[in-house]
Amino acid sequence: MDWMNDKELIAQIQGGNTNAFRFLVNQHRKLVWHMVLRMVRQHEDAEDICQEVFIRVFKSMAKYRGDSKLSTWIAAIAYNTCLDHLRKKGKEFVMHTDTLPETPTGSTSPSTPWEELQRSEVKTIVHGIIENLPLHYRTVITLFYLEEFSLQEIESITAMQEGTIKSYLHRGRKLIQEAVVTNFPEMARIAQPTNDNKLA
Amino acid sequence: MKSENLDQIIDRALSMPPEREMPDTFTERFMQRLEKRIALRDILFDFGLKVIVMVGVLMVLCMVFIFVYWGKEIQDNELVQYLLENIVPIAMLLIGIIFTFIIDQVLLRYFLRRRNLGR
Repeated sequence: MDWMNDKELIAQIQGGNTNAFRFLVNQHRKLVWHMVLRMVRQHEDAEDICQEVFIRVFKSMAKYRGDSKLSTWIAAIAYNTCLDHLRKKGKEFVMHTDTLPETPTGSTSPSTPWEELQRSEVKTIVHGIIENLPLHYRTVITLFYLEEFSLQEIESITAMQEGTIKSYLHRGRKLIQEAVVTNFPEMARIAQPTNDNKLA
Repeated sequence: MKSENLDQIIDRALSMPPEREMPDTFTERFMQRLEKRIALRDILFDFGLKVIVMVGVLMVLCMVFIFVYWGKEIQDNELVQYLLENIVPIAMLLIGIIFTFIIDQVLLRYFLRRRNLGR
């Protein structure tokens, strides 16, 4: 099936075309996967939750009015499914805290040259930090940076106020930066770019 | 790389997907599950429709019966007497018919469609 726009796709699915729904799943599977991994964090449950998200998408297909982008609508369903899962499991449903539960330590020692850190370790470190952030922080950060949703779109996905989203992004980023610098003091030197950046 | 400041490095790391990737077979497995669900939903819908039609027909027959025998002593009717005398075997026969109907119309159809989907 070639590319088709959201409206055509929805019309096909509502007409009972299961191949069109297969196309939709393929198109949005990564978005759902990333959200579930980041929000739920339990990798063994992730696939089941993704399936549950797409089942809900299928069941709610008739309710989609096209007011928002299809990806935004699917992300909202994924967000609510993850919240329901966390609620059921009784795990950190809403955590409003600015503190990191635990600062992950990188697999490298602080003496590792920072160039190497930049190349391979920063991603691992940052992702480790995100995993340890409170639920709303890691959700908003994932939607904004990884899935590239706008603030308005995140607002419609999570039903949070735009100001709250901005605050989570700002504070979350600050926490990440602090944790990176704590783990790798040599990174502090590039936090405020100076001529020292040009170190060999 | 060296000219990047910490903000840029963090930006880049944040825009990278998590290490663990979704299994390649996810879509196929999900679609199989969905098609089974759709099959069960369709079969139950058909079955519900047939049950409604049957119950409707029985209700119409009952109403005709009541209308015909309105104001008369119903116990004097031979058919009613026969039904009352043989209520246990009749009830068992009806239960048997309903059970066979469910097996044939729901379970068999569902498992046959499931098997076909699995191929």
